[in-house]
Amino acid sequence: MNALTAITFSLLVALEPVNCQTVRGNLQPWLQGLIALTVFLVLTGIAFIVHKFWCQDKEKDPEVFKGGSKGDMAISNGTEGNYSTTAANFRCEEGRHVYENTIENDCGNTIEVLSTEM
Amino acid sequence: MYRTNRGTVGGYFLAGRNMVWWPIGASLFASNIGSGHFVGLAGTGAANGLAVAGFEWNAMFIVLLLGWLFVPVYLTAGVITMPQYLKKRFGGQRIRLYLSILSLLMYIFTKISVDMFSGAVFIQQALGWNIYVAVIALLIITTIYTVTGGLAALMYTDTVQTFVMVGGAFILMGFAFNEVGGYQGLFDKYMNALPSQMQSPTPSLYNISAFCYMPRKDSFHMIRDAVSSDLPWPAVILGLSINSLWYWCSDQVIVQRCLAGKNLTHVKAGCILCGYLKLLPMFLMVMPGMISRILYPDEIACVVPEECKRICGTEVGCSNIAYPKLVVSLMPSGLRGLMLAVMLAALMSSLASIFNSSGTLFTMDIYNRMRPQASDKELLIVGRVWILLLVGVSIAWIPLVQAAQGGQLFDYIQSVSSYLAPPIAAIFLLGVFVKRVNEQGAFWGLVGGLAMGMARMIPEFIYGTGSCLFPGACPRLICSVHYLYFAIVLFFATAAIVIGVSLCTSPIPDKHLHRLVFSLRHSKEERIDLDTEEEEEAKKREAARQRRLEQAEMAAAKNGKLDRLRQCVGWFCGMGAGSQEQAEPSLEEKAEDMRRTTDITEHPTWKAAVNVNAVIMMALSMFLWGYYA
Repeated sequence: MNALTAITFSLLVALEPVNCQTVRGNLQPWLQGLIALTVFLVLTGIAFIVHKFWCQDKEKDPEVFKGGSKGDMAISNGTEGNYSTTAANFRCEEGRHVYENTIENDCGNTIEVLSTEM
Repeated sequence: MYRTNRGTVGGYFLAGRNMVWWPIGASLFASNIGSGHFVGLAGTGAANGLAVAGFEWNAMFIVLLLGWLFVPVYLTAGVITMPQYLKKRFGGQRIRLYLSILSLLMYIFTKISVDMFSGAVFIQQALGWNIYVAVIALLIITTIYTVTGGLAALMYTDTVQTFVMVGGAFILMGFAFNEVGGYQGLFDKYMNALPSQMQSPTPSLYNISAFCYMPRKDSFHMIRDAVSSDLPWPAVILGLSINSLWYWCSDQVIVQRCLAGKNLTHVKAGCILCGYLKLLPMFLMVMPGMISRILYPDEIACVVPEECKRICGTEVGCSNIAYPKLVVSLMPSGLRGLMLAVMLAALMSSLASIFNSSGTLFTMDIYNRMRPQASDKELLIVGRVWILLLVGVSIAWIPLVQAAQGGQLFDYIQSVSSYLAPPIAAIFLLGVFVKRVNEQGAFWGLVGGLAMGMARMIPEFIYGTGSCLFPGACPRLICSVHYLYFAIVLFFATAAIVIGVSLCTSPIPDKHLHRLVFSLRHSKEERIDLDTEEEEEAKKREAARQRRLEQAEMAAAKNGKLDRLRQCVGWFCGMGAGSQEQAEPSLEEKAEDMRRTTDITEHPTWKAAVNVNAVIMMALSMFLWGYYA
């Protein structure tokens, strides 16, 4: 919830004027306010749903991907530092030796932002 | 508050870490709102309309960022001051020292002097006292309870003062709206609020264009044109967010109040309360400022320089006296005294907070570095002496603020913040969220940012910003960009320098960063602090202090009772003989205490409750932004 909420905060602060610029003078003020409110709630709802969807994904998939990731580790000693964006997106455990900038939310999902080799 | 042990550093500077949500929220609001807001917001509202309230309503979002993103990291890091956090996060000496000095300078330029000046304007208008007499009396009272009480005293008095402030301001708002014919009356009459003296007395020297005294066409809109207005909307959305990020998420005064919270949920709830309270300035300060212009256009909206000088002592413009004029003219004499109390409350709460936080900064970050072997007692005395020194400097600074920006008080604050704050905001934002950023990147980013900020600030202050009739002589290349746009540019330039230099130098290993960055805030692993040598010195100090205590006890047993006067002074400063009798907490107790204060786990029900509350607050804020857009 925290990470996505953070992104939503920043998005919304930037998105405020979109609904206002085009309708000045034509719409009643309370209607403008209502539109802004609705847009905000819709975006919050979307963020919440996406967050829930990702959490459910984590509960279902670790067994599938754990096998895959162990296999990966056995082979890929020489490719530790590579940008692995495939299975890592759904992996909930991180290799300690890989230094990544991750945004962790409550259910431990990691969204890979930057991956550098140490 | 009696339970808070004022004799320990944690008890004095962090209120014993026991505050619940409502003193936190009230204190955040009261620390933020000073008489500068009353005078500046009302004045700019009188001159330019509603848009200045965007400064307040933007903060509602940023204060949520503080509670949800930044405070968990600060709490779990276990720090008291922001430079201390930077020291743990980046290591090295220079960033912490640099930031301490810069923060103290910014306090003097943007907070202390402004609050005192506006308080003085108010008292001068209301009572006719000499400015210096009034301010010195105020400062003496403020200093007394700052020096004796520490943060706990401040936060509780902040709560009381918030009630007084909001209550008194509500009453004045009621009177003002009544006088002008209601809410709709304000909007009907504002566009016709023109001064009667509109002609230049010496047309050969200068002509007065209608633009300088007419109310702006977009006075009732908060979202204004991106190029040609006084507060363009991208600047307000993005540039102001950067300044607010510095103020709410990385500034000692504000963060200290959150760090004093009982647990993370209380902090979040306090932030939400502060957000709700931030809704009020539009209705309590900006609109009454506009009403003041409607009721007294000859004085507030004066445009002829000689007239303005006669009315309020400065030629640039008299919009700053909007709120005091309203109080003096509109309220019956009993309530006038109440409003004066409101102003004093606002001024004293802000000043006291700043003095306390500067004391913390100076003691823990600068003095502690110069004399690492200082005992706790010495640190506390030094903190209090520093506060007294600040009082002296602040008094001396008043004439400079009076002379410098004249009728543009809020502009002065915001522009100085825009030139100095964005690099700090960039460092904190990147430091908390991006692990790759290291010490060299942060330091060179700060230095580069300061250089750019100074390149804009120094010419602007030398040439002067001028007024509508006589624009300043600053070259267009430097000064034509709006200061909030400049803040955006400065922020991204600093961020680019930081990331660039960080990528070229070696990163900081994870073992130094546990619980110091957002992604590792729940990590339970052992952290090897980058300031280990300071930790060892602290241990040596502790051992030396124990030995000194034992010696003192033996000496006191020999001499009998302490001198009476020293006993009194000791009690006043919270360091009586009694504090020596209290048992020194054992190592286990200290560790347990540390675990409790750095704990950021939350009860899931309450966590969901504050999250829902935050969404509600943001929704309300969005509605109001849309309404007044």
